[in-house]
Amino acid sequence: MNSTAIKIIVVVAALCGTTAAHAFPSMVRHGYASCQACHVDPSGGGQLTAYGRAQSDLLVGWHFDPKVIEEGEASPTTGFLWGLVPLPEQLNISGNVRGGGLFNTVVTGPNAGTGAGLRPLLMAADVAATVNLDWFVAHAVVGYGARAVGPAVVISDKGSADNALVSREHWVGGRFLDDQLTVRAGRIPLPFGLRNNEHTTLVRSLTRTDSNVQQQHGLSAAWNTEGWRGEFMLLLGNYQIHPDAFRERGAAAFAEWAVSQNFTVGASSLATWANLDIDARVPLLRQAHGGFVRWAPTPSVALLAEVDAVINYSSADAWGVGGAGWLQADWEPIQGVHLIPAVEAGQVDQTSALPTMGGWMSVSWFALPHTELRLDTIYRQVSPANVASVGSFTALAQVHFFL
Amino acid sequence: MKKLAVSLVLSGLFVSTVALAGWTKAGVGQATFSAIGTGGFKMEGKTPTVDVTDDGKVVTVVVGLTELVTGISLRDRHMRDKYLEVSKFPTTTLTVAIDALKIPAAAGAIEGDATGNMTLHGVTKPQPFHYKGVCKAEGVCDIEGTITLNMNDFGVVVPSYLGITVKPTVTIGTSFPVKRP
Repeated sequence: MNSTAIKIIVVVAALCGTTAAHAFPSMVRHGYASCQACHVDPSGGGQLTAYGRAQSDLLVGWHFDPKVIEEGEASPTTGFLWGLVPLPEQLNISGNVRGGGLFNTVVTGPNAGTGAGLRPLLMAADVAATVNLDWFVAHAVVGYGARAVGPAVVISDKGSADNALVSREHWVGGRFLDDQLTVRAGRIPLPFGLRNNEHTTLVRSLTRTDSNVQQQHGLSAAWNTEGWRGEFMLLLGNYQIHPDAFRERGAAAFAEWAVSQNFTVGASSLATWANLDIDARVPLLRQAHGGFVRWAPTPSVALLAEVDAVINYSSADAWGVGGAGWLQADWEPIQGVHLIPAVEAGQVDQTSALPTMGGWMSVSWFALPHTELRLDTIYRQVSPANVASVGSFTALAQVHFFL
Repeated sequence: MKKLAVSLVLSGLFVSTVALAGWTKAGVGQATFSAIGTGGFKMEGKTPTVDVTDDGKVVTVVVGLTELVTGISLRDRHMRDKYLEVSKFPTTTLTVAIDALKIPAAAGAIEGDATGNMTLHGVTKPQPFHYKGVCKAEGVCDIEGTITLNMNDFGVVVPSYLGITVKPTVTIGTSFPVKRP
């Protein structure tokens, strides 16, 4: 098998095992076009607010007796550690733990039958804390990163990307104008595209905008108002990587318009410069521009789509143009149970014969308060030039506690 | 969630419709309300129970609040029980003098502003509203109406739930067809 193809498969398998993000852009099905009511991050994802915790029970969780949903109040167990530890209103503490097992095998190509096999996986073990004092807000997420957490590492043995103390986010800022404007500085998820759970998708990896480890330090202004939301971030670089030449400087932004309560259209743009790109090891001007849509045609179905163009320029390779696309359906036949098929494609490496193609089928069950059981199955076909295409299958079973 | 309270306002909308003396509803109408809150929060709701009476001088629109829905059952319940207190105030009404409405004698556009008396949550106050529509040759007019009101004016507690608070100003809209006598 071509060594490049092998590397690609290994990277894909590794990425599939690093899931720590938790965001639900499909909440547009409930009329939540804006994310800020439920998430500390004004653009969504990550730690829940008290309101978000309540909605996780009322709208997201599965209930054995549906009358609990129709007639009940939000469960007291929605609080921190299932409500066992009362917190003052100004303090929000939560945990995020994901663990499970990953199976990966090469299905087609010269080395069919090989692969990473089956292995246990701890994807995230984080604690998040937010302090709200009037307009002031401070937020930090720290934890243990078991594998492939390089960009988020704070302390590790000999600079390893595994077995490390990580901080995915840490920022301070203020909320103004009835909380419509949030200004902050620190390590922040890049404002770009859909911020969904499947952060290893091609649209996230090829644009380097996943919300797992690819946050960057910078200054940000986020706007959430009736019908509109958006964020602009000045990127100062990821100060958790070294040397400075690796750090990308530039800007990223998105804007989204809620055409209706259940249909939104957004656009994203990103441009960065690094003196030495961390992957290509050459000076690199990196751009990504695209659009995304969220639509809930019925209360049980949410469709999410994103298409991005990726444009790279380096003095060594000149221009490289590619792109990535993602189309996902999230069907919730009964509350708390999701069937989530998706397809994707993407290509930046100009040497590939065809774009990388992928198909996802995921099942998610929010079986208990603060608990999600999830199975992702992913098939991806990589087509390097001059060698046979390589198809790989990955299955990831996980338990997710958002405490 | 309490924000639903806003829905009350909606009822007022229907008023604009009725504005046509001696006319009858010619189909299904719809009334909606929209409220916004902190941090870009938005809530929309609707109620299907609308009745209109016309004594030749005054049009009265009655909107039932017991079937008010916003898409989240707990929010609906909070709205009905805690904010609108539907058990005590099951309806909201708007009365408008027919003379206050600009109604074309034949086919054509309708548009204007008027003020009626709105009763919500047991409080009656003059309430301005805007209406517009198109009358067709066959005598059917498609009417839309909007009202912007302040919940505080009607003694409705502003909904607030776990840090998310709805702004007291709510927009209500309605659309429905009516037929000339």
